Amino acid sequence: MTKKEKNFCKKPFSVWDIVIYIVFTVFVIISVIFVFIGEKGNTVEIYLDGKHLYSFELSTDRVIELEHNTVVIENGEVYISYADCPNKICLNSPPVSKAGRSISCLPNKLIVYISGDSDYDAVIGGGL
Amino acid sequence: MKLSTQKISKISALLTLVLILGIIENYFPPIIPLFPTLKLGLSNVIITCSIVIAGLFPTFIIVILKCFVLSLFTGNLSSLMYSLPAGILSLLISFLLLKTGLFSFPAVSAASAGIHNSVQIFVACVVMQSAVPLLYLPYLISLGMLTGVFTGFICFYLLKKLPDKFGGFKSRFNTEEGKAMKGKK
Amino acid sequence: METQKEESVQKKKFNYKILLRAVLALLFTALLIAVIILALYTDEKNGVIMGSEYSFVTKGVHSKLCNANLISLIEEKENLFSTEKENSDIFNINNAPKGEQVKISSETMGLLLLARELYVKTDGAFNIAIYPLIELWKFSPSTFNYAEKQPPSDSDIDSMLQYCKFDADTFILDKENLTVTKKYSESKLDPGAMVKGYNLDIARQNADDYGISYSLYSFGGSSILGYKKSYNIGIIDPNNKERVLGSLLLPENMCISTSGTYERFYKDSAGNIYHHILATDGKPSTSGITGVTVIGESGVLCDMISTAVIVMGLDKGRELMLEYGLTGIIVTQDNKYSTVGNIGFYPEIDDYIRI
Repeated sequence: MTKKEKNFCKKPFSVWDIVIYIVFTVFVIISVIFVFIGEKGNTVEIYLDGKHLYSFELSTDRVIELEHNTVVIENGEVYISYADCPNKICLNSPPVSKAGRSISCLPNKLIVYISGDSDYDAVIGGGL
Repeated sequence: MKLSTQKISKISALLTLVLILGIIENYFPPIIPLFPTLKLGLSNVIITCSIVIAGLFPTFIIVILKCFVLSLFTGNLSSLMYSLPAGILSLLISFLLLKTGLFSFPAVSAASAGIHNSVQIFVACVVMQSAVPLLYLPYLISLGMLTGVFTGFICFYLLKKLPDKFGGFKSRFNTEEGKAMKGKK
Repeated sequence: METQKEESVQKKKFNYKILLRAVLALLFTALLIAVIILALYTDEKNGVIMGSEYSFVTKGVHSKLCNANLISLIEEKENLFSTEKENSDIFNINNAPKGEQVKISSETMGLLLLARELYVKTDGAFNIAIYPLIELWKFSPSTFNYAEKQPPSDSDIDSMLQYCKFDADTFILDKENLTVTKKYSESKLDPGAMVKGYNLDIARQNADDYGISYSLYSFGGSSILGYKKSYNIGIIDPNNKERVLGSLLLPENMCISTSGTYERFYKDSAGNIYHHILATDGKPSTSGITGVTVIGESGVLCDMISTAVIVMGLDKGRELMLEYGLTGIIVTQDNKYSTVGNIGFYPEIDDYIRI
C-alpha cells in the first residue's frame, strides 16, 4: 500500500493565486464583451408545406416571391402582399413584428413565423 | 483501487455530510434574487476536503451520488443535466489545481466554483437553444468566485484542524501533535 | 538509496494511476454530456394541417420520429373529421340523405358522443350541428373572407334552425352499430370546434409512446399543450390583436385553448360587425364575451368549452368551467376580464378592469 504523499499548498494564500484570479477576470471580461457585441436579431422563418424554406433577418427590407404568395419584410414588419388563394384572408392580416407571431396563407400551406427571443414560450389567441 | 470497508465508510460519512449541507443550502432563500441558482457552496467545502482525505476516485463517486440523490430529493430530475457536468468538471479542475501544489485552497475553490457556474450556463444554452443564458455569465462567474474564496478558506482551516490524513501540513502547526497524529488512517 | 529508488518508482506508478483516473473521469464526463445533449435534441416542425397551422417544438432523442408520426396521425384524422375531404366520416354524414344509416368509425362516434354530451349540458350553446347556419353566414373555410357583405335574412336563419339541432331526434347516434342517421337531409355537422383540442390529446399520447423529454404543441395558434414541462404563455388581447393581455403559466401536461369572436368576422354596409360564434338563435352571440381561454387536462374538452362559454355568457360560462374543474380567463368586449379558478395570470395591460 503506497502512502499517498500529496503535497498541497500549505498557506491560505499563495503567489500563484493571482494567476487564477487573472485568468478568470479575463473570462469575465470576454463574456462581458460578448454580451455587448451579440445583437439579438429576430428572424423571419418561412415554412411551405411543412418544410422550412428560408430564414431572413427582420431588420433587412426584402421582398420574397413565392409561387403562390409574396412576402414582404419592411421596416421591421412582415406581411403578405400577394396571394392566389380564394379567400385572401392572409392579405387582410395586419403586419407582425414580434417574436412568436405568425401570418399564414392556409390554403397555400404557407407559414411566415418570427423567431427570436420573446417574453413568452408561446402566444395564444391571435386568430386563424 | 481497492474499496476496503474503511474506504466505503469514509465515502459514506463524507457523502452524508455533503447531502446534508446540500439540502440545507437548498432551503436558504436565494442570496441574490436575480440568480436563484447561485448557492453558498457549502457542500463544496466537503468535496474539496474529500479530495485531500479520500482521493480523486472516491470523491468522484461522492459527487455523482450527490447529484442523483439531491435531484431525487427535490423531485427535479432535469436538474441532473446541470448539476452532473458542472460537478464533475469542477471536481476535476479542483483536483488538478490542488495537485500542482502551487495554488492555495481559496483560489482553487474559487476556480472550481467559477467553472461550476459556467458549465451550468453552457448547459442552459444548449437546453434552451439560445444564447440568452450567456448574459448571466459575467455575474455568475464573479459571484461564484467570491463564494469560492469563502468556502476555500473554510476548507483550509478545517483540514488544518483535522487530526488524520493531513500529512504535509506539519510545518503549519505543532510539530509534536502533527507527528503523533500522522500515520493514523 | 534503494528505498529512495523504490519510493520514486512507487511514486511514478502512483502518479500514472492518478492520471489514468483523471482521464477516465474526463471520458466519463464527455459521455455523460453526450447523453445529455442527445436527450435535448430538438426537432421543430411548422406547417398547415387540416386547415390550420401547427407548430411543434420537441426535445428528446426520438423527437424527429415522434413529430413525423404525429403529423401522419393527424393527417389520418382528416379521413374522419374533415368536412371537405371526400369520404371522410363527417363528409359522408353531411352528404347523406335523411334516414340513411351512415357508417362511421368508433373514433368519430366517440367524438360525436362527447359533442352530444356537451350539447345537452350547455342547452345547445355548444352545437356542432350548426354547420348549415355557418355556411349560410358564410363563415365556413371555403366561403369565408373579410369582404363586406350583408348578413342572411331572419327568415333564412329561422328556416335553417330546425336542421341545426344536435338532439337525439335530429341526429340518431347508434353506439353499437356505429351509425348516424339524420332526420333532415339538410343537416350537417362540423367538429371544427373540437378538432384542435383533440389533436392535443393525440399529441400527448404520441409523445408518451415515443418517450421524449418534453415538448410544446400548438394547433391553429389557439390550442397548446405543454408536454412534461410548464410554459409561459402569452394571451393575446381579444379586443386588440396587436397586444398581449398578459401571461400565464401553463402547468405541465395541461392543455390551453382559446376561442374568440375575432377569429372570423365581417361587416355589413352599415358597419355592423358579425362574428362567427353563433348562439342558439342562429345569430352571432350577444353575450358580450369576445375571448375565452380555458386550461385543463383534456384538450378536446378545453376546446369545446372555450367555444361554449362565449355563447353562454359570463356567469353561466364560469359555472360550466368550474363544474368541469377547468380554469381560465374570460374577456368581455367592454375591456373587462375575469379569471376562473386558480390560475397565475400576470396582466400586462392597465386599462382593463378585473371582474
